[in-house]
Amino acid sequence: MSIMERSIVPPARSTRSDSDRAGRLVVRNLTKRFGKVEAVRDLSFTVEPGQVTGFLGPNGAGKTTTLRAALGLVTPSGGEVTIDGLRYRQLANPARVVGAVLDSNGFHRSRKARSHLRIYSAAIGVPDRRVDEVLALVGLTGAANRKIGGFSLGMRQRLALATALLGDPRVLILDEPGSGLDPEGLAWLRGFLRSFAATGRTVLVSSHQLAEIAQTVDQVVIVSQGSRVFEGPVNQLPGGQDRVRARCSDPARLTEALAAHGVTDVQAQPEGWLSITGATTTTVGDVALAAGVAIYHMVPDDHDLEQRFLALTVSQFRPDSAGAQEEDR
Amino acid sequence: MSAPTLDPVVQRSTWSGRELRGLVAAEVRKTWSTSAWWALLVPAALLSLAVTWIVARDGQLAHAQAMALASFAVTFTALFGAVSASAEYRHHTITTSYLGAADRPKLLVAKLILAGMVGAGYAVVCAGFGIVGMLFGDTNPGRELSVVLQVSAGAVPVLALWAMLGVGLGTLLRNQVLAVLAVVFYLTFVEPIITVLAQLAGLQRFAIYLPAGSAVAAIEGLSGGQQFGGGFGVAAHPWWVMLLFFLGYTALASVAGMAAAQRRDIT
Repeated sequence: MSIMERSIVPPARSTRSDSDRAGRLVVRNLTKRFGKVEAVRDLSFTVEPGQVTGFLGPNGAGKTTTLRAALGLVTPSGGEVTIDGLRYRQLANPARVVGAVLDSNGFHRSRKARSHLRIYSAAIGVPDRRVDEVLALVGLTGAANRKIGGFSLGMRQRLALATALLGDPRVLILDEPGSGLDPEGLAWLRGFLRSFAATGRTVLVSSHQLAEIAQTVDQVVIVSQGSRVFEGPVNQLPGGQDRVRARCSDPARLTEALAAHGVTDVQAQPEGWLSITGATTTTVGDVALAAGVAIYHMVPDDHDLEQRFLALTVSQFRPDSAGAQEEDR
Repeated sequence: MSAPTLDPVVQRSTWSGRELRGLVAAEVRKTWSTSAWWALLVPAALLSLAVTWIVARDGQLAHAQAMALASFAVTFTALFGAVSASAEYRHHTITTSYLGAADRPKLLVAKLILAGMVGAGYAVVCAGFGIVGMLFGDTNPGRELSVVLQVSAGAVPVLALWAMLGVGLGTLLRNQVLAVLAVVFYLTFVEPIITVLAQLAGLQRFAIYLPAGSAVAAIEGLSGGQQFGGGFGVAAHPWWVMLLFFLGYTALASVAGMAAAQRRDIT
């Protein structure tokens, strides 16, 4: 990290001319080995501001290692992660640019929540009133003077989020934030992340469950065994086809009309339902109208999203996967 | 080629006083919001009082004060440094600390500054309790007051350095139990045994070049050359030479901790 490199690299490489856009996070050929274990292998992807990006993969796929490399906690064996075109350690006051929720256990249990936050407000140079603001933001005002040792997992997750928000960052990185949150807390977190991104800021959130974040994210990056296997919008996951379930006045006639339209995979189901593969709701609606069939109820079927996700990834829990036993590295 | 960008966020991480003050303030709050500082200070102060109470009965007041400060006060002060630095790893708070201070040496420097202040505070409190102990043990405590105060003053930089050395060690070892055991084991067994063996081998002055030995010799030098502890004989060097020697050990521990922390992956 010489001064030369710092001052020259971003403007000098034309391919990176856009990478210092405020809030953009770029993972470039990241590789990390822990001894013999290759946790991340030549991983590249880009996280854009103004949207929520999901970072998916089974446990042990290298998600945590990637996020920690982005935050300067883990030194890459190769490649780099830049935020605003700079590595985390090059940012002058990184906690004012990036907030991170990594570990719901990163607290001294005998400290009070407010004392915990006041340590980091001092460290990153934000006024102490910011402490009360973030406590209110995550709904912990009432617990501010309680010892963290008595907190539930969900409360600790909220406190970790409050810590991340102290510096009013424009990039938010969360590692498995859903664990420990009850459905209500999860719904709150989803709403929070959406509104955070809606202000033009960047959200990168990891999970090992697609279902947990599918409704929240605009983009997904899927990793398996340290490598990227997919990057794009959720509905473009490969292997999947559009599928629609519809209930109509005349299933036989609609099936016929769809077949004439080239949609042949139509399964009849009880109570007049049809399961139509290879067509969107728009297509089915248009075909039904042309055929004079009334549609009573129609839903796009994302049922196989999880299957498509699983098909892309390889679980670490294979009988002979000697190298992949590091828990969620 | 365009000029380096002037966005303030992009600016180089230099050692700004404002940033360091913030980090030291954070260390003060870390210390103040946990119990280690007083939990270690209370036994240090009470044991210092006990030592001077007992030893002052022989009438050697400066000797008593030096002995109290160079034994229990040293141990607990070094423990404070080791405990406070390793607590970051024990409680996984090192992650958040490094997120705020990505330039890792800055965090260690802030910890060293805080430890120096606390160590100096320990010296003042333990010296005060030592003087109280003398009042119990001796009927005429004013007799050697100037030397006693001299010894007490000498303990301030010595204990400040001990706390800093503990921080270096705690950062190097990370494991809190290991760090505590290392301090206690070294001060109680390792160095005393080396000292005795060296004396048996006829190397009377060898021990003053060891870490604890140099610290003791610095305090001893201020007590007017009286013998105590390991019985080092007449001081070979003035007290400040021994203090510089001990400063070298502190710097060594700090640099070792810094070097280990610099490359360490926080997973």
